[in-house]
Amino acid sequence: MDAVTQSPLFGIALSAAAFSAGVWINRRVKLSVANPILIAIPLVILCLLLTGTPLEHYQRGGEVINMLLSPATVALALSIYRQREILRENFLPVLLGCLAGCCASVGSTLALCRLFGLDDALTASLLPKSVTTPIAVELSRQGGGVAAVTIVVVLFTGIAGAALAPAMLRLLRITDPVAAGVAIGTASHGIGTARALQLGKVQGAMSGVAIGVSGIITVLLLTFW
Amino acid sequence: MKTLRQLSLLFAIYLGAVWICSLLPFSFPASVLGMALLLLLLFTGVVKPRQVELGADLLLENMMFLFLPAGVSILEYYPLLRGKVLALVLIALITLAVTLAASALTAGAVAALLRRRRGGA
Repeated sequence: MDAVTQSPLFGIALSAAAFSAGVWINRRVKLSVANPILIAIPLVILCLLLTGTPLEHYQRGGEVINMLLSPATVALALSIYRQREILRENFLPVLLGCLAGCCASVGSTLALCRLFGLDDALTASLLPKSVTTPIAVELSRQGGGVAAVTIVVVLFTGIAGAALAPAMLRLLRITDPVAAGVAIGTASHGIGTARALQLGKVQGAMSGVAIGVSGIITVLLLTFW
Repeated sequence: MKTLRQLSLLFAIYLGAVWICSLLPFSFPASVLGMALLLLLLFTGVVKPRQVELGADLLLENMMFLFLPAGVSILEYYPLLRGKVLALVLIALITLAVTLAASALTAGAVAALLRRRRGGA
């Protein structure tokens, strides 16, 4: 069996199979908690533990997949570029809304991490929690954080945002669709945006723009602060 | 063929960003610099969207899959998290509410102010 699991193709095949299973379940359950990757992560871990396969064997293939993440982040530029018209039309509300949200996110996370006495590695893993996963992971690594923790927390934030944001916005008496969309995108990135799209076209578009703008603001904030 | 060519362009932009980052006096994520570079190339028209969209969409549509191995390595870091899960959940929920409120109230106030000025003029 060792000969099989030591091949990088083993990790790639297991990942692809587990993710396909995650997508399949997600299509049937239709709940934001049934996120494909949140299903695939425990599936892979279960497979490794049940067969007694070392994590290092899996990661030989995992590293190949990991390598593609950087060019995928570069590709985000295209999705930001595609939203340039919407951004131009609502430039100030989007920019200032994202700026306020990013400062609030980083500031409150830092304060709470100190309050709960979390160590530096965990704090660095949590600081970029509101932004889209590729940017959050890069920022986490740069700050000495743990990518795996960041991924799980970012996913949790997105799912919680998708579930709770509409009720929270009602509580705050936010009726402006632009403000609602910007807030959802800033606080809970892509997973929240899927929910914002259900609220309305304007909310969805604003949320999509806010992902890119907040990502860039958070990079600047965490790099030069 | 077209997709491969576009992927190699995206890889080259990333590698260019890695090189620039190695010259910087402070640490900066190379993939984010690469994103900024591509954004610049698109806005200046040096690169047209159709010259990268096949490759870029391939990566963007499968983005979540690319995070799977990094997510699986949580297995290795489980000891780091033991006894801290409740704190992490609380932090995530509280900061979510704070971020949402700050962003919504600011964007709403700015939008209302602009509407009033436009209405008054």
